[in-house]
Amino acid sequence: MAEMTYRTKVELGVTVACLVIGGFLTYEALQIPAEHEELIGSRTVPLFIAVLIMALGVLISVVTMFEEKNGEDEDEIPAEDEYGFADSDVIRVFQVIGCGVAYIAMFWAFGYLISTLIALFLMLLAFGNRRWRPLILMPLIGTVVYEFVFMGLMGLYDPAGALVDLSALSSLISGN
Amino acid sequence: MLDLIAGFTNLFSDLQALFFVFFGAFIGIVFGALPGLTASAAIAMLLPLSFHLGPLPALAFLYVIGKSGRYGGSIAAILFNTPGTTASAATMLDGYPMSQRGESGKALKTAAVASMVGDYTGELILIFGAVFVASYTKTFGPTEYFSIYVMAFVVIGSVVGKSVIKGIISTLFGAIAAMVGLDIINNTPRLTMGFNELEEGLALVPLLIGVFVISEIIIQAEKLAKSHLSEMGETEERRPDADHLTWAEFKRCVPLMIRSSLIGSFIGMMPGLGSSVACFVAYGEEKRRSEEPEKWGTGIVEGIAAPESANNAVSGPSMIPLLSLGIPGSTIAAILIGVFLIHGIQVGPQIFDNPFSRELIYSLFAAGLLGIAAYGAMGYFLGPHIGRLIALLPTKYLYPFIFLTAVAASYSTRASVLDVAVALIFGVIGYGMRRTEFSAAAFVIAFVLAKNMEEAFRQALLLSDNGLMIFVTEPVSAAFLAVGFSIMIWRSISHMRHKKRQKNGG
Repeated sequence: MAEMTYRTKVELGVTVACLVIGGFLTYEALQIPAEHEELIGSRTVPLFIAVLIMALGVLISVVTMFEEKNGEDEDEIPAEDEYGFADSDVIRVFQVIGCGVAYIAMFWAFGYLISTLIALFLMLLAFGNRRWRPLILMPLIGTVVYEFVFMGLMGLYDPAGALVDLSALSSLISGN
Repeated sequence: MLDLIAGFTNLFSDLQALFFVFFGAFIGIVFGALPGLTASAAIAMLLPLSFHLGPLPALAFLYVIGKSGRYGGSIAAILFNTPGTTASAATMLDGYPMSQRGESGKALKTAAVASMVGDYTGELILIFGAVFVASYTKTFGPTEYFSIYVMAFVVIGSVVGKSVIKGIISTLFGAIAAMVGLDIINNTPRLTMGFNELEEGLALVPLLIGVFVISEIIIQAEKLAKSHLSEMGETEERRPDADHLTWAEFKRCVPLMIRSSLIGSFIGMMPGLGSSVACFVAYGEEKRRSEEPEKWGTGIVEGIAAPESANNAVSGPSMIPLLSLGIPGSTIAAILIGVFLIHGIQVGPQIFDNPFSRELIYSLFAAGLLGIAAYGAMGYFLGPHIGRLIALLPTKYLYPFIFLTAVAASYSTRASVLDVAVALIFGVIGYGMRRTEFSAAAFVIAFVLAKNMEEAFRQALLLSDNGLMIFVTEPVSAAFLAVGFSIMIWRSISHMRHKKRQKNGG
């Protein structure tokens, strides 16, 4: 078999992803209790959709390989900028998501105020900021603004951190 | 007409709603002009704010953002050679060359005028079309509705992207995400993976923020080293005399704007076919009709007027399926369904029967008409200044704040950190979808519709003596299914033909 084009490799990956996700959803759908008295119950639609995802996922690879065999997709890749993961910057992806994960963890531990402050600092770092003045001032000012708008004006629930309770400071800023 | 006058009276007696019409016009232009961010992203982040407003200010705010965001996209296309939204991709072809010649002011004014003409055409078609269509769809029951939902899924999935199969899979992913939580009929927990918190289901806001905002932030983080917002296309020497759209140029563009507006309106009525399709269809058609097609792409006002009229004309008619059938024709319409429901208003043909919701809808139409004038005036007089201000905003400072706003907006939906986690997960999923040509729009629309579809399906089967055959023996239901699957087959065949032509070098 001739070497696969980049598109075919990506599409095979898509098929695998569809099979894995569809398989997991099929398993989850089978955990839904079935009502024997009803032909169509709670699990019918999710199960049908999960199986269809797997079937169509396989179809993607079948169509792509058919097209490759007939030489129909040879010149496509250069025209498409964002297709595939060849120019993906995995570190950047992890940095952004890592900031989100850190935000969630710190929200639990220290509450909204500190989690916003640290997540903003980390995001500025992730976006390549290295000058210390914006790195310190922007998170400080941003945190005060976010606390005032979301907790003060919009009146959202602002739970105390499980490890450190800064409710008094939060209340001072938000005015609640 | 009397309803519309009453709508204007209602709008002008509500100062908060008036404020949010103008604020929405401004916000939409700014977000639309920021390359990468779209009106949908702005709406996703500002949706929680609308929970604190009354129904009219909330709906007017988000509706006007959707309209002005499409115009805002043209600012980035003309000044930065980067479409702020996919809807302005065609505007770039002539807008950027004009900027390079020092005519950015003229280009932006043409875009503002054309967007207004297109949007007013679409809005008028919406106002008269929605009531007309709704009068026919009032008698539909669950059988017809199920078929309409299936048709919408299949049509949206088929037309929304490059691949029919991936479009359909996108709708299936959206549909199954909507199944998470308690079963609507018998309260059985489904797909909760053992998490009690998921029994309430996935909320729309974190999901929207994930696929539209977080995924974009990831992409911007990747692009950071490669591009810079401040790379404006303007030459150093701007020509003030070329900053004005002359009367002769305007007159030349009028017939073209009307034709493109009608093309955009027609495309807008079809679920899934959005502004990005309309702008290229109108551009292609007007270039074909032109006596000097060779000038298109070199920087002429007609090349801006055609796509801008068409992409904004989509906005109004895309609401017709929403108001007459309860089916959103676009992502923004899908989000508006959520806002209607929050305020206890059931979207569908009955919306015109209830005096309260009828008045609200006509007030929303009035807000739309006022919003068009607002963003048109802002764009005409302030467009170049807004563009230059945006060029000064460094991505490395802007996107960290957008990220924090996005996570705060996710949290604010239900004051739950789980929703922040959901937004992050869907951010990664959205990123993967963009990289592999899946459709975020189809995903979101299906998410909004899936529960209603399942409910209609199960109700129809309870009514049926003939099992699943009810959907093909009822003539209206069968007709909708036939339309949906015909479009899917037509799209698949045209896709195969396109590939064959490519292979043969045609």
